Amino acid sequence: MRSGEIMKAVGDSCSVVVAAVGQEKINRFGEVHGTNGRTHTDPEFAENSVFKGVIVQGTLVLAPVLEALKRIYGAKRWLAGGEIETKFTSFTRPHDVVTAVFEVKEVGEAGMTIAYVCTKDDGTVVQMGTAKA
Amino acid sequence: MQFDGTNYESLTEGQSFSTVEFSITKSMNMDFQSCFSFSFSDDESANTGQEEDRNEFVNPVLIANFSVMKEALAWPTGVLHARELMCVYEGVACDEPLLMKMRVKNKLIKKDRKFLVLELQAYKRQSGIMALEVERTLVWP
Repeated sequence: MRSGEIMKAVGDSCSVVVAAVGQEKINRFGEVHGTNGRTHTDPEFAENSVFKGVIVQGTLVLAPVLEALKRIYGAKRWLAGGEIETKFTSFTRPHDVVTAVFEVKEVGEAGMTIAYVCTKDDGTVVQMGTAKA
Repeated sequence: MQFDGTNYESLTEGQSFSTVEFSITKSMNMDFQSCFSFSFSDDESANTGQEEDRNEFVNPVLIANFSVMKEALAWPTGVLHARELMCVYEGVACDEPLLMKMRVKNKLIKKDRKFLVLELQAYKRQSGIMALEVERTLVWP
């Protein structure tokens, strides 16, 4: 299914590949977004912490998910009542590629509900949730 | 590691913080958009930060940025982001003046983990319309 633009019926699905990010993008995102804690931006500190290495901000994965949802629903619809509930279930590390799979679960008068799951190449689910608009 | 932020015990349910005035500049939005790219699996090219439709409205993640929250709350090292509920009511353009209201919606301890649920509401300063509402669940160290 191309680009999610024709997702309309229950069971319709599409997937989005979120490109891997390196330390430079993690740091820049941290600066502009305020998620610039040392577990994200200081590899040496992060390595010696309980996290055993840098963690990519969960919101740095969520941001492209929202852009994809805007495209799936259409900007007009998404920006006038779109909702998303997300659970951050595991860590994304620098250079991890994440694939988000979106599937329509319900269509009704109140809108279209889409479930989504973000998975790393090793099968680890890093975030999941539902959206509605 | 020395504790370097607001103490969990000092926060109370219902506690409100000072309203923060802010806006997202074009430069901030461009920086934000340049940090990530994605592509639908059957598209030939990735969607980059230069796309016009990505710059027309500010991504809700950037509106609900943590910098605004940190103006109200001293942020200790090691906070984990567990859950986010976002309701988008109206698109926000770059440079649009906004007000962020924030309060502690809930506190709970489960399996020795200290959860803090914050409610954030972003209003358009000129119209008074709520543009975005966020319920953010954090695990406090």
